[in-house]
Amino acid sequence: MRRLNILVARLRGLLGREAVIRDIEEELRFHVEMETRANVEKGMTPGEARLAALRSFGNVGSIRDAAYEVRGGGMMEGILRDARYGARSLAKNPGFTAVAVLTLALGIGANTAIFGVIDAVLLRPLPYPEAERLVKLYGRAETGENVPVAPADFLEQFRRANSFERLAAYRELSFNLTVQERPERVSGTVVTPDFFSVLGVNAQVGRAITAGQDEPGGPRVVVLSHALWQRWYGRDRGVIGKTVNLDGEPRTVVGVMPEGFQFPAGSELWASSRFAVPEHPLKPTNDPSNRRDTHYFDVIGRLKAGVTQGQAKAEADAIVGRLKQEYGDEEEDVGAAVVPLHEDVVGETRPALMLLIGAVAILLLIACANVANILLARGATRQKEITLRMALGASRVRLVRQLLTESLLLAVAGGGLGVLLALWGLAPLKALIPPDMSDGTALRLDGRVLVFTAVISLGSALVFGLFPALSLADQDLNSVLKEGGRGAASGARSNRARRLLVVSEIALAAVLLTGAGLLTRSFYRLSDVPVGFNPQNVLSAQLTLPQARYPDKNDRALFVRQVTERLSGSPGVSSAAVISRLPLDPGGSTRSVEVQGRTPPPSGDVNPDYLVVSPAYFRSLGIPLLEGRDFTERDDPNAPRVVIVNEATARHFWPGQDPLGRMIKVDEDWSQVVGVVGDVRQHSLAQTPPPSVYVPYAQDPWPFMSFVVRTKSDLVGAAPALETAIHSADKDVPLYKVRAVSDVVAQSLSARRWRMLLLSLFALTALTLSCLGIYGVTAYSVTQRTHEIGIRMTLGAQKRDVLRLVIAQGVKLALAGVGVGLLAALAVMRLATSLLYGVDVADPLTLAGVFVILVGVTLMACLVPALRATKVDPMAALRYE
Amino acid sequence: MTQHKADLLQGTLDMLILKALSLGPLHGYGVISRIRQMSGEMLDVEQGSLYPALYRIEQRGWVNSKWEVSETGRRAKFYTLTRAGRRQLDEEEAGWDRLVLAIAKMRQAT
Repeated sequence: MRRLNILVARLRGLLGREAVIRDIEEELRFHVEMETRANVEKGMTPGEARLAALRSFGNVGSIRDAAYEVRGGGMMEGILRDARYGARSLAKNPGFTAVAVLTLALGIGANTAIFGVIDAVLLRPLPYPEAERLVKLYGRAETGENVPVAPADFLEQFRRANSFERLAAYRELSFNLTVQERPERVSGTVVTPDFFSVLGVNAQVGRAITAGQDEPGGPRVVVLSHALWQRWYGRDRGVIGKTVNLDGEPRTVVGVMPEGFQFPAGSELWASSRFAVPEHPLKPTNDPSNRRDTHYFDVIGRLKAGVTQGQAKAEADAIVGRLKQEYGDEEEDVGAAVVPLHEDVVGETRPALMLLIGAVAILLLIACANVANILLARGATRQKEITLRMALGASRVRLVRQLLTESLLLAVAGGGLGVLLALWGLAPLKALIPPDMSDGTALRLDGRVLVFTAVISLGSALVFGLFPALSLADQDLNSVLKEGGRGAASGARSNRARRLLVVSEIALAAVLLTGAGLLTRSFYRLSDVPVGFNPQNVLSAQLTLPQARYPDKNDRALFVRQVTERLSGSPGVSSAAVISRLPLDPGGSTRSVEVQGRTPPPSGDVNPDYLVVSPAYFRSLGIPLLEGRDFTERDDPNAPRVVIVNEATARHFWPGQDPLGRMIKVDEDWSQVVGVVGDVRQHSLAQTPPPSVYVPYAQDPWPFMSFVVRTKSDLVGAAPALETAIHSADKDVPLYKVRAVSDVVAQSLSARRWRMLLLSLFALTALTLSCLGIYGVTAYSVTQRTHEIGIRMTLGAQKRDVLRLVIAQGVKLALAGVGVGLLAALAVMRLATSLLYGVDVADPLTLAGVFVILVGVTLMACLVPALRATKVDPMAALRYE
Repeated sequence: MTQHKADLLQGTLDMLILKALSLGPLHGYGVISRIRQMSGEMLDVEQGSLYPALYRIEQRGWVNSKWEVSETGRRAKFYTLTRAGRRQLDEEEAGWDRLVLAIAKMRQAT
């Protein structure tokens, strides 16, 4: 409070200097008058009395100034004076100022932008009340992976656990939504009644799905997203109570969620379930509530107040332990996992963001080193001014304050420009936000981010300003005078400092370049990874047959057969087929299998991926058939069960043997292996192909599928052909996610591509800055050594010797910097191995590349000043003294 | 004035000013007069140190100031002790008493 008073008084003093001075003078005048009056009473004449009063007062001017100093002049005015002086001195040197401000703006802007992303993604809580209590509950499989919870476990055990206030299950899926005869595909979520109360979110219009009102067995209802409501109903509140057609079934709309509510990401509507848990994707009409052998939905929970994540996990673990005892192998999990919802959503974005903030921090350090370097160089030319001021009695503190104020001005200007740069760069950074957060997360430079910017700006001013200021103000006047005005800042100590700065700049640049190099190498390794299929000239599209209209398996099989047959006959199409889930698409389904004549290891056996494909799938996607045969139309429900396995499966179950003709039990049926196909990167390019079992579509016709259409030349015409073929079989089924398979592959790399590009951009900027730094130091030292070079040349040194002299100096710095930098990079990048693929941190190619680039660039940077040195005219150089 | 004047001890000026004002609002000249009067003409405060001290005390929130018409009919700036100022005075007086006591004990302990 008192501090505030002082501040207010000072500010007032600052703003109304004249008024304050008038105020003080008036008060002093009154004092003199009273004194005079008293003197008159003692018997003096009025003239004498006034003189005596003034005399006793002493120097009115200095009293006034002393008083003014207290009332606000003082420090504030000193700072303003310093600032004005600094601004003038910076304006006198526009070249220097521009370079320094731009350098800082690059560093600060990059930090601001990346921090903006980090703030939005990592630091802000999710937009739900008491979001820190929200968790996701998983089972833990033997492999250590987190897996969804089984229905019976969820209903009978976890939901009764003490740690959770509430638990809710949900399953994302897409619906065919028909409004006014127009089918559209929308992403939605089937939720249990507690879903919205776990999140703590209410509907904006109408009501959300609620426990008590929307229990299983009751009427089935839907809640719409704000976006869907706007798109289809023009925000008509009358939508409440209307009926929509979802996958061929009528549902009542009960509510609309607020704008921006998007959980899970991309969901446009939420539907209640027919059962106590979301319906099973494959058997939607069978109640899965008692099953412990299927895992297909997510569980979110709200911890009770005061319960920690660790306690909840311990309780959940104990529950699984009891289940294991009670049900033995029927319980497939070995434990449970409780993950904060925020962490679950952020996922692997965290290490990537950490890498980037590290990168921009390094960039800012380099920028600071550079500006410090320029300041030191400039200090040399300001020697005279500084010496003069010191000789006139300016204190060291005063000088340091003056020089720091200049640095501060630079930092503020750099920060301001940096914010503009960040604003401009923010939009593309949206790509860094994890998909599960992208909708609710706005990237903006708000107060928090600007405070961060202000702090790093001031921090950098200290970093780059303090050292030059101290070294400038901390010098021996005598030695300056003795050195004949050439300056002590150009002395050995300051030179050493400048070299040190350049070495650290190069070292930091080396760290960034190594990081960028490793990410780039990883990216290309991944791009070159054999995906196991040929994505060129293949179109894919997804489709779902509504349960209500295609309840019969044979109808679904017939539909697919008709469409694929018609497609194969289309001009330009070479083959077409369906698969239950396209490679690299999220999700997937696995099955536990039994292999005839094989005893599974006691820890359990792998569960291969389970994929349903129609004949010609392998041909359409270009997956090599290595042995045996492809499926044919004769592999129908009446024919013996058959499967095709991939190499990974064959290697695992029948090592060193021929898998053809072997029997394997998938689900309920024993099937014969009729073929072996090549491995496919089914889940991600970075993951080794999982063992997979392919089943003919006709023997297990899934309602949802992806079409793959291989064309003869290019993809033009493939999409219309596909649409025509589908609509001739059923005009009410919408196609969605129509994409070139090559795009699917590229898409799966896009996050990595972004990281690589950003880091490369930062590394390039760092390289440029340190290049400027080394150029500055070399150029400066050449000017400084003109005299020496002149003497050398007089004594017979050749141009070549001079060249070598200058360049050797630069190269020495570069070598030191690169050496230190590469060691640091090795240490730092070990922390980021999760972002690498197929390259070792000590990748010789990357390290060698960084070495060559940095040394090469240093050579170039030294070359210009070195050439200038060779043009020194010995006579002129000697006379220069 | 034949009386011996006492020298002001460093740091006691603030306390004297606060003490003077504890009896009621005063202008600067009045503060000096009252200190002289209350100390039995033994303490004389220099104008040159009074006003900076007053401003400092005002900024600390121990006194408020206001322009008012004085006893001579001329406008003068009057200073009033605030509640914080009174607390500060109590503290400084207690501190001073301790100091005096301590010094007295030292001097008697011959």
